[in-house]
Amino acid sequence: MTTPRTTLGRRKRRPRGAMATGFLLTPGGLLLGSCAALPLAAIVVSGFTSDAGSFTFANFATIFGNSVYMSLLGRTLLIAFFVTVISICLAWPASWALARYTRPRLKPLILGLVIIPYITSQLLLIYGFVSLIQAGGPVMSALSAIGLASPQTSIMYTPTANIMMLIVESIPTAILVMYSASEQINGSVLEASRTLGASKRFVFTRVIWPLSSAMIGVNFALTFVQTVGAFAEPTILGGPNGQMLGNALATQLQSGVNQQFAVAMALVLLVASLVVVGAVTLLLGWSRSAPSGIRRSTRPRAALIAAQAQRAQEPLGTQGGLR
Amino acid sequence: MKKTALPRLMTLWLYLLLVILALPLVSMAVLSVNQSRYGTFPFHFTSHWYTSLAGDSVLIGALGTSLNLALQATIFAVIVGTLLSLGMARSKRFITVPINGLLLALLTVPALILAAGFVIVFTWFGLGSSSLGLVLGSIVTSVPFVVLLVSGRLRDLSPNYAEAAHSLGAGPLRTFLTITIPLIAPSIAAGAMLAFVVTFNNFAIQLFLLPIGVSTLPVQIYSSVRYGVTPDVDALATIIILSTVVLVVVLNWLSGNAAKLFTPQTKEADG
Repeated sequence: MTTPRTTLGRRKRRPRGAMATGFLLTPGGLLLGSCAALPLAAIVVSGFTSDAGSFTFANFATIFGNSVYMSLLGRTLLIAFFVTVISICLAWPASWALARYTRPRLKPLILGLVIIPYITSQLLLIYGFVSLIQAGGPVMSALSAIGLASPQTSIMYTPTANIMMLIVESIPTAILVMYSASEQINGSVLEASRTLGASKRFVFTRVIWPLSSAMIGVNFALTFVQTVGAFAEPTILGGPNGQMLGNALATQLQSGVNQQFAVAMALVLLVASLVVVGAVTLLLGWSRSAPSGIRRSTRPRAALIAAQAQRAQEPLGTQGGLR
Repeated sequence: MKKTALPRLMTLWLYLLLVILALPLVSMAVLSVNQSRYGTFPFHFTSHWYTSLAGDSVLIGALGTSLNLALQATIFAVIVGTLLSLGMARSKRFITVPINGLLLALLTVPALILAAGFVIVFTWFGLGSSSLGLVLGSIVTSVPFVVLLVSGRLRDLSPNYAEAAHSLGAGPLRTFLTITIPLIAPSIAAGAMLAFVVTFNNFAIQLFLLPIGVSTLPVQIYSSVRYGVTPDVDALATIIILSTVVLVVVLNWLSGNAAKLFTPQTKEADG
């Protein structure tokens, strides 16, 4: 958001007609109203309607009453949680090294190498991954050359392949977000805690963790919600045992029949993932103050972090990209 | 001794992760110049797959559809997004907060779930499986990126420039065209590039909204990868990845630091 001072200043200095503002907002407002607000509302409303258009709970009764859908939902949430946590754990040390131990001249190059897979089409990444792990491909050839696997086998069409693919797709996001988190921590704070005799573990739990956990929350929300909605990866790589709820949703939606049921699944998926994200955010918030045990002394720091988290949750308003 | 071991280990880990991230992309580049039709080894160099790609009407057709769609959606997204950013910069909170909320929802809700909403709404309007629906869905999913960049730039902009123009006698329209637009032009260009990439890649939206009988490149790859990999696709993928490299370099040049476009910033803009 704009800081109040500049907003005030701008408004005072450049009084503009409401007509001009209305003209500027109209196309975007119409587009967002019809193609963003309406579809989002439709997801909520349409799940509660039957094929004939009357109000019903039948779609949700089917989902919650059917053990196939429930186990798919459970597996989807579990896979997404696992993938998100692993990708953050893998990326954090690398991001820390990028923020602190890498020469400034090298940073743009390395960030560029992270951004390239980040903005490459998901399907091309999957395709490249398939070409890597298929029977007779580079990975299997290398493994068989050192006698670890027979050249004609592969991990294709297994849940492992699906999970590995999802992790590979999540790592660029995690590196970028955790890099941002690592860069924010002032080096002098770390030095101060070391000079004052804090052990490495203490520095991590009481300084680095509280200062990073807000961004971990942001990272978790971004990656988890995206992974919950994955369907191309399990379809292509997962095989019969690696399916997720996204597959069932996509198949139902594509069939063109009883799309209300697909929408009901979408709503269940969305609400379930928001609940998980909310719980993790609360847990992270609690973890900031818990290890120290001394509530009062952590107040100022907690307030600072809360303010930081609030700003982190407004990425639209806080982008300072171009200059 | 102990002090230097950990940083070195972490730096090594960073490079290892970069290699892992690059592997699927490099693999396609290598297989695109390998003789084997099935992507198997040993390696023998050939440029045959690039010539056969040129004659592959299905892949080239899908690429054409994708580029066409991305271009159309980008043009509209840039116009609508820029106007919206300018409008929001002079609006009160009760207007900007809901708009920002919708933009944020578009950025975070998974494409599959959004696609379900689009399918329902476009069927109501009789736009189901029409190219207009596909273009509308693509525009609305790329508008947030344009607004993100242009609004960020507008916020950093000092009001003094416009004030100077105004006191030198320029009217609002002239100030806008000769002062504001040139000042925000780099972020509009960066927003356009992002919108293009996002639309080009937006597989889930395309899969569910495409008219029958038409294929974009991601949808084409999705339906063909189940029957195994082919070197034609590897060749095309290599060309696309090389274009992505060029794009990242240009974005870096336009914005000073491309990584900032993709990371949530928690620091206040210091401008």
